Amino acid sequence: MTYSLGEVEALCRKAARGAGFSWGMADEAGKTARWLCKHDLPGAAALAGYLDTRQDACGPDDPALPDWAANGPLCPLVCGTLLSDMGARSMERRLHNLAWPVLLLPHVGGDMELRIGPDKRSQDDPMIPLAPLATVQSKQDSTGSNRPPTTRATIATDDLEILTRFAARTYAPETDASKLSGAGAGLKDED
Amino acid sequence: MTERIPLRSPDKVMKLARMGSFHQSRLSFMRQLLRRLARENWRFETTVFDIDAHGVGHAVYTAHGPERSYSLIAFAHDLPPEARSDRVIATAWDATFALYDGMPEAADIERLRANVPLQEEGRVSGSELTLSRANRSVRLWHHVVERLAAGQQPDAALVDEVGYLMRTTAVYGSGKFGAADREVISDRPECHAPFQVEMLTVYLIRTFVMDLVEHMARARAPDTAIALDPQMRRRFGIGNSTGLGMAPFLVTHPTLLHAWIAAREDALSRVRSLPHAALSEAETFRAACARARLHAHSWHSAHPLQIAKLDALRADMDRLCAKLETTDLTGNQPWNTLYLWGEEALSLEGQEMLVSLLLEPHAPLVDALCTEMSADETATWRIDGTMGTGVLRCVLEDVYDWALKIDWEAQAPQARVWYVSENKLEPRMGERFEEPLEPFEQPLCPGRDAARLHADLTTDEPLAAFLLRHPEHRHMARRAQIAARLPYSEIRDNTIDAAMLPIDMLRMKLSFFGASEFDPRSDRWVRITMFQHAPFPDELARDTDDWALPPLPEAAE
Repeated sequence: MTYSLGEVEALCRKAARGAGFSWGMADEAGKTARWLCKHDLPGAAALAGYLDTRQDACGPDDPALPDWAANGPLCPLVCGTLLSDMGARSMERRLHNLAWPVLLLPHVGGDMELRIGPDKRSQDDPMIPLAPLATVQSKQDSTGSNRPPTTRATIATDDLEILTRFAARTYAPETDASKLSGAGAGLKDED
Repeated sequence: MTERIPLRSPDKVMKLARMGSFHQSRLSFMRQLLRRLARENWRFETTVFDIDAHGVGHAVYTAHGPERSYSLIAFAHDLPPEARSDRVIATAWDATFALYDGMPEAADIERLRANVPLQEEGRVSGSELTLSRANRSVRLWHHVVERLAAGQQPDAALVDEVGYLMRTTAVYGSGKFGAADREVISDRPECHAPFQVEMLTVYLIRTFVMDLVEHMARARAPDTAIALDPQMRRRFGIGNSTGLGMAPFLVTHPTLLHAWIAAREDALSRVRSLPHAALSEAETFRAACARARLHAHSWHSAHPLQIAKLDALRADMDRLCAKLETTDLTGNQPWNTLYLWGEEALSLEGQEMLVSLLLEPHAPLVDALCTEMSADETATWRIDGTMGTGVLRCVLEDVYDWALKIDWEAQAPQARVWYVSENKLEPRMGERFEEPLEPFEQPLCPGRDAARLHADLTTDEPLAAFLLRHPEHRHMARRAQIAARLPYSEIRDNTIDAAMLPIDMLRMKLSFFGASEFDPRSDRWVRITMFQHAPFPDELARDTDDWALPPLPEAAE
């Protein structure tokens, strides 16, 4: 079974919110997973892996410095949106202890690339949960094997379970009162 | 030189009371669809109609466009009366549908037969564009079957009172339940305008339903049954029952909302700016006003709020028609003069009806704007974090000044909570101070969130640095930046106020679809009619875009 990219985005957005991100960051998480899936990368799997293990990952102590670091792993969603917000696409950055680097990838502009080792790009090994050093740098090789866009995504059962579990935290438990009043019905449906 | 009349201010237009008084117009998505189907000579065929005497089976209706075909696959069911519900929690329907992208093979039909009748509990695939279902109006259905079986046409008064034989209770598109994403089809010319595959689905459902009711009459009395008279047939639309699920869309798609409203306001401004009214345009306008008056008088609602609005609208239409008796539309900028008269003389329902009517005679001026009603939402997504917080503060004070004046410590302005329920995962609205819902609140209250963001913008720094410390303001910062560029992107009213009426949000969206006969069943649930009086596929060429208002009695002869 495959999923639409809209389903991936909606599920991942809710999962990020359920995992404790703000709504605005959850929006970014949904877009991030969708972008990765569209480029045939395991966006849902990476987000599931990250949300399940992230603990205290956060943004850089001082984003003005070329080296981004924090007292723990760097959050790829916070760092990615920060790069995007700053319009930092022409600036090079070294990110220390970056969790799930592939999740940063959608925020790196077309003329830049994300490397997780001297010879390795993040999309070459998308399931790495932590990169001791990741670099956002000018593209070295414009003939890179960018995969063609796709319109459908797959989500493994385990990842689906994780994402669904987090997403469920955004749903209000049903009460008898809310069931009747919330959707505004309760009138007889016949006409 | 005649003066170009500026577009109406978003502070005027984007108020819920006014948006909740919008009517269909030339720009409506249903009308855009039918104009295209006629212009491009789309061909229609019923390739399968395999339905038994109990009304159980399936049918396939295919629409062939210049480059591609689309097929409605309809499953008809024999639903016990006690299972018939319009509620989103329903689990069975009289008919269920999918719109297939192309022409289905037998294997597709079987795959869909196992899933489409289950609706939300089933799965469709990237080959499907929409998923939908409908219930009968039992009273009218029985009446029409009995009359046709007996060789008689149905009672016109009863047909007009209900307006439809079936009403849809959801039309899901754009990637829902496994269907193809909008971006898969958005570069096709026929899908460029918003909601075209959803509108095509409903249009084909209408044809199917009329065929089904005649089939049932024939099954009951093969010797005496007759078909519907073509003029009687046109009186049937398709009903729709819409609840809160639709309301958040307007808040979560600000760029698209701007595109819709800006097209309509631009159209109005163009017409108001015309130096003169041509004779033929004046005639078309007068006829449209008479038909709109008829429409206002035949529009039924049992809801006290809508009854009061309809009383006002009927008086407005009487007043407008009386005004036209004494207005020759020959002065300078006559349409603008009339519009300004309306602002003084008419209720909001009447003012917005006048806007729709003013667009009616001006196809070349107005219809060109249809191409501007879709939006690339990714283009406005990125936050400009280099913007200073001082600039953002000014944006908030400009766009959300109404919200900054509200006392957000008081209970009434924040009485409501938008949330998603565990059951059916649909958006709902609850009472903040009566139910434990706040932890589950959805970000659908831009006014309050703008005020919160404004209060926290106390230092001067780049927005990126501020948002790194305050991720809770991220969604609002994005909205504000969009609203700074796209003035009609934001509802400039409090969407969580104790007195807020969700039906105003539903009405606004449904008016852009092209719906009519808004009939609220509560403050958060509305019934409408779609495609009433519209030509059927075999009538498209000769009667393209003159159906959205009911015909005058003499014109119907």
